[in-house]
Amino acid sequence: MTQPRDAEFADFVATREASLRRLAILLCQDWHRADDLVQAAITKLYVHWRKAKAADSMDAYVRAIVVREFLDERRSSWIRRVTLTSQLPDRAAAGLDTETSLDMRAALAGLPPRQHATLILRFYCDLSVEQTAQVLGCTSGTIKSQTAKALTSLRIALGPDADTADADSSGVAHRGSHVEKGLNHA
Amino acid sequence: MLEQSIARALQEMADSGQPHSRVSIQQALRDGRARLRRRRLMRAAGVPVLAAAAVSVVAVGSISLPPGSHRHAHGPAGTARRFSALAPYATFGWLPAKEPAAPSQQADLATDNTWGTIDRTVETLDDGPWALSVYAAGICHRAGNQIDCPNDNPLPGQPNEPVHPCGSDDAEVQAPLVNGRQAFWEHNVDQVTTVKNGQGQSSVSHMRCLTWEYAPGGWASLSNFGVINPDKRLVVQIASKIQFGGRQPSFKFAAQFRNLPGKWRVVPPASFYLMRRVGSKLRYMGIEHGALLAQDFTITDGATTLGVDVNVFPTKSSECVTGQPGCRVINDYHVSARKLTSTQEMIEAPDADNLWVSLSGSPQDLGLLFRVFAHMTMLGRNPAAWTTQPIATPSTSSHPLPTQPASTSPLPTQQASTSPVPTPSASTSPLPTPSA
Repeated sequence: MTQPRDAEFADFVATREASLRRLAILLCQDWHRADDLVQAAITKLYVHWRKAKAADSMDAYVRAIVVREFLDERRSSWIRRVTLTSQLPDRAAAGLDTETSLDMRAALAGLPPRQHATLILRFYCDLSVEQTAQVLGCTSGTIKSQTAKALTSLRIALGPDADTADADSSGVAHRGSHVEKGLNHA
Repeated sequence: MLEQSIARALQEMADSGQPHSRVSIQQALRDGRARLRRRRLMRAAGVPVLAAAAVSVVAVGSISLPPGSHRHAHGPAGTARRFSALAPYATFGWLPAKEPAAPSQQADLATDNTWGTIDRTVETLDDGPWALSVYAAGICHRAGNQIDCPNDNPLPGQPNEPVHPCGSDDAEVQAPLVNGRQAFWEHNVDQVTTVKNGQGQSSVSHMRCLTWEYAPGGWASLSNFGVINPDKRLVVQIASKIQFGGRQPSFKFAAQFRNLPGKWRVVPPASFYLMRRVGSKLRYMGIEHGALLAQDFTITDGATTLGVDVNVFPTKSSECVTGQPGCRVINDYHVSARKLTSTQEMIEAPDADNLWVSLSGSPQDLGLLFRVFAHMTMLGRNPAAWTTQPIATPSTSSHPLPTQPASTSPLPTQQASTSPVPTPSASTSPLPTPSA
C-alpha cells in the first residue's frame, strides 16, 4: 500500500468482498458478470472514497454503487439484456436444485432490472421502502409501485400456488409457460 | 407468503457456494488511481503542489481572453497562464443529444497550471462521461507526436515524471485539426475502466482521448469514461465547441469566513457543482440557471493549508454530544473531530444550518481547525444567499485568532520550496501573448 487511503480502502473491500459478491450474484445471476460488477463498483468506490467515508453508512453507500452500476449496465446494453434473459441464469447449484427454487429464480430473473433490484433490496437486504428509494434514487411511492408490480409479475409467473408458498420450499409453484413468458419481457 | 418465498430464494442464492473470486483489489486501486490521475483530483492538503498553487493563483489572476471570443466555434480562445480560484475556466459548449440539454459539471481539478472539468448528468454516483483537462500556457511541451505535461498528482513513492495529457504511455497519433489547431489521439487499453465478461464473451473498453492545442501553447485533453470507443468525429466536435475563458459565472460559497486573521486565501475548488433550486430542493442544473457551488476547496495562509467542505446535501445528523472528548459547541454548532487518515484530521459539523461542514488539516493543526471554524458563517441552502467571497475582507479583528507561527512564513518561500513543477508566470513565459 502506498498511502493511507489505499490501505483503508483495501481493508474495507477485503472485509466486504464476499457480501458484495452475494449482492452482485443476486442482481446478475452470473458469476462472471457479478465479479465484473463488483470490480467496477469498488473502483468507483475508490474514486469516491472520501464521500463514502462521510456517508452515514459506508455499507449502504457501496451497496448503492453496486445496484446503480448494475442498472446502468442493463440500460446501456440492449443486446446483453436480451441475451441474458433468453436462457436460464448461471447457477452455483449446490443445494438449490429444487424445482421451487429454480422457478423462483427464473421468475426473478425475468423481472425488469429495477423491479428485480427493488425486491433484492427489500427482501434480501431488508431495507425499508425509504432506504430502498434512497439507493435507487427515486421516491418511496415509486418503490411501492415497483414492489407491487414485481409481486404481481411473480404471481403470474409462478401460477396459482405462488401465495401459498411459505418456508417449505416444496410448496411453491409449477414450472412452465408462465415462467418462460416472464423470462422474455425483461 | 410470496414475500417470504422471495426472501428465502434470494438467501439461498446468495448463500450458494461462491466460486473463486476474480475481483481484484489491486486492480481497483490501479484503475481508481488512473481515474483520479486523469481527473487530477486534488485533495486538500494532500499534494504539495496544491500549497504551491495557493500562493500565486489569486494574486496573478487568471486569464487573458481576446474580446468577443466568449463563444468561439471557430478560432482559439486566450491561453490561460493561471487559473482563477474564484471562477471556472472552461465549459462544454455542446454535448450529444443523448446527454442532458443542460449538462451540469463538476471540476475535479484546479491548480494554477491545470484545470479539469467533467460533465455530470444527474444526481448519481456515476462518473460523468466526458472529462476535460486544460493545461495552462507553456506547461505542456510537444516533441513530434509526443506531448509531455507535468504530473501534478504523482503516486507516492514514485518519481514525478511528465505525463501525457491523457495519462497513457502510448505515443499520440495525429488527429483532425480542432478549430484549425493541431490535435492527437491517445488510445490504449491501459486506460480500461470496465471489463465486461458476461455470457462468456470478453470485451474490453478502450479509452479514447483527444489532445489538442486550444490556444497557442495551451493544451487540452478530452476523454470519455463511460462510452466504449466513442466516435472520433463526435469527440472532435465536442472539443471544437468547448468554451475557454473566464466568462463563466463565479463560484459561489455556502459559507463565509469572517474576521479571519492572517492572510488566508482560497485555492481553486477541488470540486464544484452547478446547483439550482427547484421547488424546495436543490438540483444539479445547467450553467445558465444555476449557481456554481464550490463545495470542496482549500484555504491557505501560505504555510498552513486547510481543506474546507461545505455540503448542501447533509448526509447525517450530528452525533456530537456536549461533554464528549473531541466534541465542542462553537457558535451553537456541534463540532466533532475525527481522524481521516494518519496524516489528516477533520472536524465536522454535520448539521450547521442545514449544511454539512468540515475542515481538515494535519493532526498538528487540530486546534487551528476549531479556531478557524469559529470564524465561519453559514449561509444556508438558498443559492441567493451564497457569496462569491468565501473569505471576507479581514478587519481589525475583534475576534483574534491566536497567531500560528507558521502562518507568518513568507509566501514566496513556500512557493519555491514546495512546487515540484515549474510554474511559469506571465512575466517569464516564453509563449507569445495570445492574439486577439
